[in-house]
Formats: sequence, C-alpha cells, structure tokens
Amino acid sequence: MNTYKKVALATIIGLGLMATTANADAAKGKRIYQKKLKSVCGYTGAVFAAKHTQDEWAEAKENGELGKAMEEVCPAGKDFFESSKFKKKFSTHLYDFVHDFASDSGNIPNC
Amino acid sequence: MNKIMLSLAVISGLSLSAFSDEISDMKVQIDNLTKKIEKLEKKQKRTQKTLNKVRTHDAYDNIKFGLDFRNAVDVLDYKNNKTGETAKNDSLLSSRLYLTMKSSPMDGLTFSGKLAIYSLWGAHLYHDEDGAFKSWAGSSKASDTVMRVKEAYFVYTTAIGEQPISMSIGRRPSTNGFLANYRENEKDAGSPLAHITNMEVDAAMVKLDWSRFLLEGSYTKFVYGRAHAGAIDNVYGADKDYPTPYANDETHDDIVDFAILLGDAYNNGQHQVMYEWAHIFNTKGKKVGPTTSTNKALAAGTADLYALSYKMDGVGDEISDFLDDTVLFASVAGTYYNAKDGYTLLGSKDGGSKHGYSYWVGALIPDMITEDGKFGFEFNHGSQYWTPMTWAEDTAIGSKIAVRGDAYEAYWNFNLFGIKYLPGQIRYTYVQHDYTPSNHCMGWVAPEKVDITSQDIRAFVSYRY
Repeated sequence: MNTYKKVALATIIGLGLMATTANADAAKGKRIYQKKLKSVCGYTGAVFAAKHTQDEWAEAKENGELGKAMEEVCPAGKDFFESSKFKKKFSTHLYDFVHDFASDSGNIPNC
Repeated sequence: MNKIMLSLAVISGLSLSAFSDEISDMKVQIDNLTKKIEKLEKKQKRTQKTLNKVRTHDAYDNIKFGLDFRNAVDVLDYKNNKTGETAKNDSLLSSRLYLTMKSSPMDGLTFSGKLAIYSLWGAHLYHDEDGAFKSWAGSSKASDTVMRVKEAYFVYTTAIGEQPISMSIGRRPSTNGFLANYRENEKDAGSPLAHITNMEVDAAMVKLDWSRFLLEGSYTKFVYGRAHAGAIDNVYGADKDYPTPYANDETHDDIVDFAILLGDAYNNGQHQVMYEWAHIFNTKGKKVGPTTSTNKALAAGTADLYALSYKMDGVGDEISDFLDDTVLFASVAGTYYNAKDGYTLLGSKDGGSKHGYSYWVGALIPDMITEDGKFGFEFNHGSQYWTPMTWAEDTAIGSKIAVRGDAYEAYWNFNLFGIKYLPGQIRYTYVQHDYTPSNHCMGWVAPEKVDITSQDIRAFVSYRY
C-alpha cells in the first residue's frame, strides 16, 4: 500500500472512531421484540407495531406511558413492560421499531 | 335611618334577584357550552378516526423507495506460491447504487423490488468493446439505457383454514442470505443460506408455516425456478428461412431448472437454525474426453447442495450488554455433483460423482469504541470438490465461502460519525486456495492442487435510507 492509501485508511478509521453518537435502532427494537415478546404476545412485531398510529405511539412516549400503551396491546408482556430493563435499556429501541412500523407509517416489514 | 335601611334592603333584594337571574342564565350558557364541547369532542374523535384511516390508507397508497449508495476501495493482492507469480491492484474503486421499492395495496399482498447499478470508477461501460467510452459517461451519452433488476417479486400471504401460507413469484431476495449479511454490514439477511446459495434467481415460492405444530418459528419454503433458458434465438437472432423465435435449440444445451427446500427449523429470536437443500437439473459440465470449446458448458448431470446453519444472537440472557450484543454462528454444508453417462463433472470419471464439504464459523462482538459498531471474525474451510453457488458474493477476489482451502476474515462494521444512515466497514480477507479456485460456474473444470493466496482489504461507506 502506498502512502496515500495508508492515509485514506487511517482517515476512515479516525472518522469511525468519532462515531460515538447514541442511536435508537429500529432493527435492534425488532430483534428485542423477537427475543422477548413474540412468543409472549403471540403475534409478529409488525402486527404489534400496527396496533397504533405513529402519533399515538409518540404521545404515549411523551407522556411517559409507552410501557402502559404496549401492555394494553400485549397484556401478557406485563412483567417485561414493567421491568427496569425495559425502561432503561429496551424502550428506546422498541419505540423506534413500533414508530417505524405503526399503522400509518407506510413502511412494509420484510416477510 | 329606618328609611335608609329599608331602601338598602330593597336595593339588595333587587340586586340579589338580578344576580340570581344572571347566575341561572350563566348556568344555562355553561350547560350549552358543555354540550357544545362534548359535541365538538365527539366530532374531533370522529375526525381523528377518519384522519387516521386516511393517513393509513395514504401511507400505503404509493410505492416506498429506499436507497443504498455505497462507495468502496479494495486493495487486492494475489500470489501463486508455486511459481512465484504475483498480481495486485492498489486501488479498485467502485460505486454501487441500490434503489429499493416496496408497495402493499392491500393486507397480505406486497411487492418488493431492487434496481442496481454497480460500477468501477473509470472502467469501460461494456467490457473492452467500447474503446474510450467509460462507465461514468453512460448516463450523459445517448447510447443505452440499462438498469439492472436485482430483485422484483410479490408475496401473497393468506391462510387455508388455520394454516398460514404465502406464495411468491419473481426474482427473489437470494443474495447476501443467512449469515453473509454480517460481512456486508447489512442488518437483514436475504432468504437462502449463504453457505450454498448467493446468487440472483428467478423462481416461484410457496411457504408453509409449521410453528403451530412443530418448533417455534419453524417454516419451509418450496422454491422452483430457472437459471438457464437453454439455447434460443429471439426475433433478431439467427437469419433462417424458417425462423423459430424463442424455440429451444436442442442441438445446444438444455434448460437448467432447480428445486430448493429451505427454512427455519427453529427460531426464537435468539437461537436460529436454518436448513436448505437444493437440486439443480442439467448442471454444466463437459463430455468425457479432451476439453474443447464445443464440448464444455453442457448439461452434464445434476448437483445437490445442502447446508445446516446456526446463529446465536446474544449469548445468555441479559448477563451483560457485551454478551447481549454478541453474535456467534456456525454452519456445515456439502455439495454432490453427479454426472450422467458420457459426461464428467468436476473431473469425475464417466458418469461418476464428486462430493465436497465445508464449514464456516464466525463471531461478532461489540467494538466498545462506538455506539453500534462491531468487530467480526470468520473462518471458512472447503474441501477439494466443494462447489457451492455463491457467485453473487461481494468479494473482489472471488467468493471466500467457496474456498477450496481456508479463508480468514476480520471486519469492523461502524456508523460513520455515529450516523445510522452512513454505515461503513473496513474488512480484511485472506484466502488460501489449496485447489483450483471456484469463483464462477465451471463444473467442467477439475479442481487441481494449487498453492495460491489472495488478499483483499476493503473499506466502504454507504448512504442508506
């Protein structure tokens, strides 16, 4: 590798190192749903997310009632929605997922 | 004094009477207003309901487009350790644009499409036939209009009684399938097991979900398609007295069809086991005897490919964030090429067969530097006659999964500047070929002992939305 390629590679690595912004991740939310809720709720994540519109999910989140809104959709997941892990770790990713696939999102989940 | 008191009492009485009238008027007004508010609230609820219906309808009353625009640089290095020959490319620059489409006009019916342009910077537009005409000039000169269809298929999902069933026709999402998506920094995998299938296919599919009867998440897809239409002329083809457009020319090669059975044996979101078996009819080989231009690439028999792959998405259950975000996988696969009488496949004897096998292991761990970044490590081993169909695998030095020898790979997937719409990757692939590399359809070539090493350092940044 000559010098400019080494410099280019080092630049990319450097830019990557700057990559520290925290993101909520809909794909992560989908995986969390699959792992933690699919069998409990009895239907797919797409069906779960489509139980509300984007505004309704957003309103529930703003009011600090996302867990409650999700519990209404899936009562069997009560323990999960009331756990501290949900509030601290899972809720932001799950919110991104349900917002992305809400009934009026226009997004079509993969089959 | 008494008169004054009397006067005050009369005035007070009159005032109270007037207040009382006003209060009762106000009560009536408040009641009316309350009723009006209730009516308005009901009306607003109805309007919101209608609005939601309209928005929901509107949201799906269109084609949803997406973008994946990737720019990459590859640094390539080859060495034949027996002869000492070397070859390299210090900067293979490429751009790839995917324009994805989705639509769903009704519940249970979806269309998915992917149009693709994948070009090398400064390469010829049409191989070497076009002189100074380069790929970057293709969109500004009136010469051609080529847009490749990578995927285009619809899926209809319904239920027969309580049995869910889906069917689909078209060019399927058959590239970067199960387990290969990680090395491409793609969150979702394509449909098949990338250990044996990584190529575009035109096919029809029926999917049956077994999770009511068998294990959680289990299903099977039955796929039938065509990879080669056989030798045919179109209306502009052979200049004959008796033109026969699109008729099969039986003097040449035969149609190549395939049947595939694949699915999840188990999937609970954390543990996923997938299986696949594929049977290819009339796979290409050669007639027994010396290889010439006319006796190779002919229908020579059948090929069977099979694989069993396992993925663990998260180790344990909430032991630590690190383990939750770790992915481990392992896969075993085999290929069996069976020549018909008078033909040979992969150097088999007349009508004989050749069996190959492979295994593939990998791990992805959080990079602990960035929010969503991961380091990935993979190892592949393939035997002398291991011949999967992974020609769409996006590795500049040729499919590393198809290696007849060993392949080592390490990569770093990250989001540039922490922006999830700018996924990037730095990847290093080292391949040791112990037998003739298998990087395209060539069932007529017998794998011979070689000692070749190939290396590829790739860095890319994408815009995905």
